[in-house]
Amino acid sequence: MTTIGTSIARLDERKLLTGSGRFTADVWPANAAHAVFVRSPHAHARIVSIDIDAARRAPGVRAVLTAADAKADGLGELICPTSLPGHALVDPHRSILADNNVRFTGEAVACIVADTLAQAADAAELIVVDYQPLASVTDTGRAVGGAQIWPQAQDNISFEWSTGDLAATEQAFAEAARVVSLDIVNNRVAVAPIEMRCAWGRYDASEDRYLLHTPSQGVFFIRDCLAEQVFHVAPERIDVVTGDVGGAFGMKIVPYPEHACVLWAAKVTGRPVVWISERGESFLTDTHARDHVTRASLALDTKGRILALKHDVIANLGAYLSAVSPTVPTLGYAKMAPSVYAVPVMHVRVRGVFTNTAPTDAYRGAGKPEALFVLERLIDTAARDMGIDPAQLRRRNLIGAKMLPYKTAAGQTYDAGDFAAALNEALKLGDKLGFEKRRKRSAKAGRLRGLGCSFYIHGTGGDPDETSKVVAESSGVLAAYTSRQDSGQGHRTVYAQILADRFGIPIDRIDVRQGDSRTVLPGGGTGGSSSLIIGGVAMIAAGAAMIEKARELAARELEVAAPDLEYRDGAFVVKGTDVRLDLFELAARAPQPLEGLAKFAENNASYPYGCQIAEVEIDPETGAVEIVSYLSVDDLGQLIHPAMATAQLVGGIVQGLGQALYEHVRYDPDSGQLTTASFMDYTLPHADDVPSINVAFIGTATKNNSLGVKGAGECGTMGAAPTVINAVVDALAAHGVRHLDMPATPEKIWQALQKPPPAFDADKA
Amino acid sequence: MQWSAPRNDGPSQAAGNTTGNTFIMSDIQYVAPRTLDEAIGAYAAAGSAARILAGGTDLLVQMRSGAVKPGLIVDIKKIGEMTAIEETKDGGFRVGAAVSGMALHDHPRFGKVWPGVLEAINLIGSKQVQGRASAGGNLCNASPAGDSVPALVAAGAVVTVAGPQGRRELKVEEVPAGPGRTNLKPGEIVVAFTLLPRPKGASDAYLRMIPRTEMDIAVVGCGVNLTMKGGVCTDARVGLGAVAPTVLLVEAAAKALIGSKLDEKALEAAARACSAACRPIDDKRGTIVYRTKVAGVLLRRATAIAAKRAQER
Ligand SMILES: Cc1cc2nc3c(=O)[nH]c(=O)nc-3n(C[C@H](O)[C@H](O)[C@H](O)COP(=O)(O)OP(=O)(O)OC[C@H]3O[C@@H](n4cnc5c(N)ncnc54)[C@H](O)[C@@H]3O)c2cc1C
Repeated sequence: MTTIGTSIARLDERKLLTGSGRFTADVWPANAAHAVFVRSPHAHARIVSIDIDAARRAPGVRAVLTAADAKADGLGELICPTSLPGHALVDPHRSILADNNVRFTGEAVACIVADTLAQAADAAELIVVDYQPLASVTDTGRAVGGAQIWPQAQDNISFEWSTGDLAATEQAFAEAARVVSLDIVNNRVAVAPIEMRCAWGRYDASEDRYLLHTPSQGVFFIRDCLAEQVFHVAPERIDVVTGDVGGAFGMKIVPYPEHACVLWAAKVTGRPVVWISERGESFLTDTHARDHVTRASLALDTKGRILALKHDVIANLGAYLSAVSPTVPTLGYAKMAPSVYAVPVMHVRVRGVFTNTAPTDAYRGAGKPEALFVLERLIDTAARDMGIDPAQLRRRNLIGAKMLPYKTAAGQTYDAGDFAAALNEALKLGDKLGFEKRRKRSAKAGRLRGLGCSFYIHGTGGDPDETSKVVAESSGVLAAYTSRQDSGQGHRTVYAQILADRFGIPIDRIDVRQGDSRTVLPGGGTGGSSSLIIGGVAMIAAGAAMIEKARELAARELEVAAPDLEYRDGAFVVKGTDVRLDLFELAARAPQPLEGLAKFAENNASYPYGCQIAEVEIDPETGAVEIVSYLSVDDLGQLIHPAMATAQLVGGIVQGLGQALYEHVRYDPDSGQLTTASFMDYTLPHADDVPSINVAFIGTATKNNSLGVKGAGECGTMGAAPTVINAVVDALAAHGVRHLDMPATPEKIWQALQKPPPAFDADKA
Repeated sequence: MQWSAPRNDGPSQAAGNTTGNTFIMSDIQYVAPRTLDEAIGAYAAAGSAARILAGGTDLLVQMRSGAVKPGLIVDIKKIGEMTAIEETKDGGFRVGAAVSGMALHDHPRFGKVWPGVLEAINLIGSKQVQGRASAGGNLCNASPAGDSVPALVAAGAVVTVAGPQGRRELKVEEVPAGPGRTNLKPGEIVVAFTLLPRPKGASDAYLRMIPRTEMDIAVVGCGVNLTMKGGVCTDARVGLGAVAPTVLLVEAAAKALIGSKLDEKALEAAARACSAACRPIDDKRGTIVYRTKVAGVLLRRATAIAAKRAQER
């Protein structure tokens, strides 16, 4: 009996809920030495000298490492392995310990390794770094022409990238009946996972092999970068292992200096070396995200039909190019920029800039939430300017179900969906008709009520390189190997569900294996909301390959011709008889492991979408906002596990509303210090800040993959920020408020209510 | 948090430490005397390197961040007088300085008589923090934004202090001297808060404004304590937090309320008095205009709640 579409108990819930998970910080070897990093207190400075003598002599110290040692040991720098086809890009490379200059507060300058953490920390305090402070720039809007960070990056620009049809876009704007423009700051956010970054490394001198244990979203990307760029060895010389992971969201895809340092330190000291980030370090050094300054405009005809869209974006890359970062504000950003609307032409120009801040990189949605935010804000603004109901304006511009497959101005081909159905369902569930009544009721109680509506659509992606292996083991376990790494989503359960469904094996006999470069076959890891598509499809194909191999063997064992055998519920049966041979028994008899391999050979693109509605109430005297209701109507195609899909949406929405109302990574503009380096100052939403979120599904099948599934992971986030801000601005619109940048804090709202911003001059757009 | 994870800590790290700013607990002396005299003796003898430990929800955080490195910790939670809640026969209260928010919450009568003081203390942190945090610690930590302090100021609470020179009494508002500083003399410990019996028709309320609902720092906190007779306010005290280097007693606001029926004119005058009393810092949690304005808003709202409660008593 299939469990597909049923919310069975998660296979890992007992383990994780009882605290028996095996995270990197749970499993470091007893004889490990401890690494502590001395980090830059300056946003930008020249390192005049580093005095490590006292530290080196301190009790228990095994090694004190600096950039000079890295050079002496022949270690290379971290290089950004992604590029922007057709566009030049300045990648200054990143020394694993700061060399000559420090370029953001928190950048690692020295690595101290000692027998105990206390000794390492004590020794770290003995290191004297003489810095010559330099002018810094942290603010995205001031980066171009701000204090020069890299000699090779003029005006701090790493790249200037564009896509779309500029001439056609300009023409459409020139002819448009209505142009709406907004200046939008998309605030910088921190990922702040429960499990912070950490790593322990071991070096085996007799075999010249390294072992790195670290949370990741896939072991191979980190392995390959370290091997090729830093250690200059064949990738097979570095084993990378990932255990349970407590949240990753894109931030744990990439290699970090600390990965290289624990391996290097292990080699230098002959001891395993462990480093576990503290929360303050995590805020300082994990890749941050978003952080755009954008001018965007929408051209419309008299009826409110969209004619063209253009974006001019400055995207903050931080002080270095993190491994995936160039693609985020460019390819990722533009990919879904037209969203679910029939936008005939568009143009997107993006300048990626260096600043004296932690590098930015992918974070749940990776560029798409930023672009969708812009469009959804423009649509609401246009609706208000034109006196059209925002939902109505959306409806007028939706790509109709009959228009599918539809190729967007961004070059994506949407294959399946019914956007109008999502809108209708959301308006119905959200009782849009009753809103004015609710608004009046709130007004009586002295509250300003607003309703916000937004669409999101995702084009799932990720690295399609995946080879899955499925093995029927003689112990009675069906083992499935995948490069797609779980970081808390519950991959194991859905993979087991589809394998059980397809191969008739009880779920408790299926063991999904991941996170070990010694056993898993190389593949792209988790990203782009496509683990189920890529990992699942490859796994089914690998299982089918295994069954075909087993069929030959079973035919020999049963002395029949292979075509006479039928595979059913874990056994081969001779057609028309009751002679059967259990798959696992066959595995026990087989001379070689009963395994099948298969590469992912379908389309990783799918287009999950949804419509979200939020209602907020604002206390005009204090600016306090309460989200009083939130709903999301989503099309994720075939659902494997509805509860887990819902959890992905809810979690994503919470991250989006966190950005909208609370979260903001701030650097002091003068000193470049990070002023939000703890949870006291970086305010994540708490459970009681979050309304109960109502998720409803509508399903349309996709034929892009044989499972009929669409990705889920990043969806909620993409819709939430614009939905909340649209609601907030709706509540304030009567007071002349046209736009508010995130986070919409009580004070910002209160300020907006005191003095409406001057009317926007559309002619200057 | 390396001491909670692996099972293989070396002996020297078992005590715990942090990397950013090291402190090693084994360098610290800890005593938990059973009498006040012993506590004062030990505390006074150790001089400025000593710290009193009540719930530790400020002290341990400050130690972990490296801001404070005490040589001696004097835990006062084993001293009966410091953890007792006494109701006097005439209906007054004496609350030990180290009584936790939760213990006060569970007291059958305290919250009925002093709902504003209780709600202020219970606003401190989360459930977990409530199990430890004390009003004494909140006061002696001397944060301008301490939540219980404006309510205790409004309540007219009196603090009993004991030190090498014996006992003395102070008004709550006399204890803080500035951010992180108190007017306690060397070796002095806050022993208890005394709240006088209150007439019928008297009640109080506390409200705070923060960008968040918990575990963040108030940008304004306002405590109002009223006595109402026949719809007229006969007595009032107003405490205001987070808007100046110390918590303020705003006498002008109280004056505006006393003798009025809490009508719009009186409220407006009191709100303006609160705004006028503000001397806030311009930090990222709230700019001056905002804090100043919200102080007046909270005054009006806290007054309305206190008045409603007063009627019900
Ligand atoms: C997560 C979290 C959330 C918090 N949220 C809030 C909040 O919302 N509002 C708020 O106001 N505070 C908050 N705090 C701060 C703290 O909890 C309060 O200030 C609390 O009341 C301190 O009480 P304590 O008993 O834990 O004090 P301790 O930490 O034990 O002591 C604080 C200081 O006072 C001194 N001291 C304590 N008792 C005495 C005494 N009897 N005599 C002399 N000196 C003494 C100590 O030496 C120390 O310097 C929060 C703290 C945390 C960790």
